Amino acid sequence: MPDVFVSKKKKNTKVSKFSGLSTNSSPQSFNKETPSSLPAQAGFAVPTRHSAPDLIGIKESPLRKGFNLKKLKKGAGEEYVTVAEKLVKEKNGTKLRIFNVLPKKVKFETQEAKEIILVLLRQHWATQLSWMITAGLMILAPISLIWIPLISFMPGNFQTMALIMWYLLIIAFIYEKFITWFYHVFIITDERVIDVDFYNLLYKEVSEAKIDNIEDVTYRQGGVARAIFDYGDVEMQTAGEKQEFKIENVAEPHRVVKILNELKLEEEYEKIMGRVR
Amino acid sequence: MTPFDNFLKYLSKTWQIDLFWLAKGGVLLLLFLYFLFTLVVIRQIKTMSQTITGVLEKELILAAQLLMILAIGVFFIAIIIL
Repeated sequence: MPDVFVSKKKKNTKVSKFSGLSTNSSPQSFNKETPSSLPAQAGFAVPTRHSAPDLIGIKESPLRKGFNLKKLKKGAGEEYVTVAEKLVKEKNGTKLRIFNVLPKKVKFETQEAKEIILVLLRQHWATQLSWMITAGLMILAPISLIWIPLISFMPGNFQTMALIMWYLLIIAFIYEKFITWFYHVFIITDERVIDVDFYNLLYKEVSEAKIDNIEDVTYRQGGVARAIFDYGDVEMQTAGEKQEFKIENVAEPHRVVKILNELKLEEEYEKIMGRVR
Repeated sequence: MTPFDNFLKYLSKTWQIDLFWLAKGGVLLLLFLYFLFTLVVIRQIKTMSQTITGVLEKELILAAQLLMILAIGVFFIAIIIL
């Protein structure tokens, strides 16, 4: 409690309940500088003058009247840090990262001049384990021919050719799976979100939504693998043409939701400040 | 015996299918299709590189080109071996 003056005996002294300030019913006695001995002799507590800086916790310099505005404690909204500025502190890893913060040199087709890519997301590597294991088994499969002579009926040159073709098939399989994963990305910029779905070699879909249009963001994280490797689905309801955006199997979905919510706030702040790109 | 039966009998006597040549033709056809697949891969990576630039695009195009060279090489090897 601040060091306000409270008269113990004087009945007309009130204590403000909410502000912690005391108010005296006779302002003259408060404002007028009276000799301290007189009230003391009369049995009253000696009131001391409190300036505004004292009341907000700043000590007033005896040499300077008034108070310095710069020293005032900053309230909500006085200091504003953008999401991009917050993310700058985070380390950026290799190009194959599944949660790539502020990726360097990365640009996309419809990017505007001052638009910043904040996060580039890919599906979690744990979801790719199925085809990796399949590829591994396919590589090792020809060893089984020692015990199971499946192609022994063929002439020698045809057997060699069959093995070469088998490994060509494996290379194509791995390559196709890898680029499907690699180019299936979700980009969050400071203005919008872009979903690049690269389903296979012959089909891709690129859709986007402005941050302003995002109405609701939720994430789902269920199952053993998702709990262990910390990945899940993030769903967004938008007011645009494509009403639902879904990022599947993304790492740290809670963090994605947090970034999106901060971006929504940032957009609202920009609207209030009148910033239009 | 109908004329059509006679025709079939004539064909079966004169035109014998060689399994070896059939298998060789099949292998070469598959390798040609594989070559076409590598061309599609190169084309697709170039398209995707336009969609997102600056992410391993050079390495991936190089890998796709190596795959195409491999397909051509295997095609010629198949002609020689078989």
